[in-house]
Amino acid sequence: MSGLTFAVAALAAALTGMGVGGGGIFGLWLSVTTNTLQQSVQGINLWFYLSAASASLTVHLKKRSINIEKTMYIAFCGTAGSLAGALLASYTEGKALRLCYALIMAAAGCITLYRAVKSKKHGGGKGRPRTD
Amino acid sequence: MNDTVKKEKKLVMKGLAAICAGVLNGALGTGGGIIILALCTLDTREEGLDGKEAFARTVLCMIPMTLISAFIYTASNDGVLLSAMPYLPVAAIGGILGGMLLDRVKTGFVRVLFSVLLIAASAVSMVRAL
Repeated sequence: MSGLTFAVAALAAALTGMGVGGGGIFGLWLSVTTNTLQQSVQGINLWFYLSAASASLTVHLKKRSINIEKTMYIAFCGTAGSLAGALLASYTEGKALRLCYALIMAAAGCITLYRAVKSKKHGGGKGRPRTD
Repeated sequence: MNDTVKKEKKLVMKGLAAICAGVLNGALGTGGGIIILALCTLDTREEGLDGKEAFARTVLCMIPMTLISAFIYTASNDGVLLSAMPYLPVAAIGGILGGMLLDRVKTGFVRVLFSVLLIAASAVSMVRAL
């Protein structure tokens, strides 16, 4: 791991923990700067997100009591979708995946930018967080 | 339309949106969080809670979703976990720092900077894919 990749990984993880959304940027970094297969980039990104999110969750659980019951339904439906999506990815060509990945990330960037600008206009410094 | 039907319809729509978020997360390894956050924000607003509660709930929802996807990616390519290993301690430390900073840092500027970086990197990646 190069020093620069290490720095990007640390920054992306901190952004993930802050809810600014860093999971996607680390995947994009790997996708742009290395010759790793797109499926592998996505797999690495998933483990990366899992590690950062689990660590940040321990902090969030200490600070506030999360209503776990309320999240169960969304988590269950989302997990079923994830299963289908991951199986779909294993049958999809890498180039098509890379293009879709970049398009979704560009859209996520635009949405985040729009929300950040909108939140600033309404005087909110600590705007609504987002995640990947 | 009575309240029960409205509630049931809302629940079905929420479930479908969560499934779409899961498909996105599984197929692209990222991206589902935006939809899940929107769903959790709807819930927390109804309960009169702040955005940080919604984010914490989102992280909680995203963990099982990401875990199942990560296992499938690893099952089809066992080198994935090995390649991810060097980044995991960095990710954990960064995640804790980010979680601690959430209440202290004004994220507005960081979000703008992050969005611009994301759009630029996506453009480069798109050019490379074509």
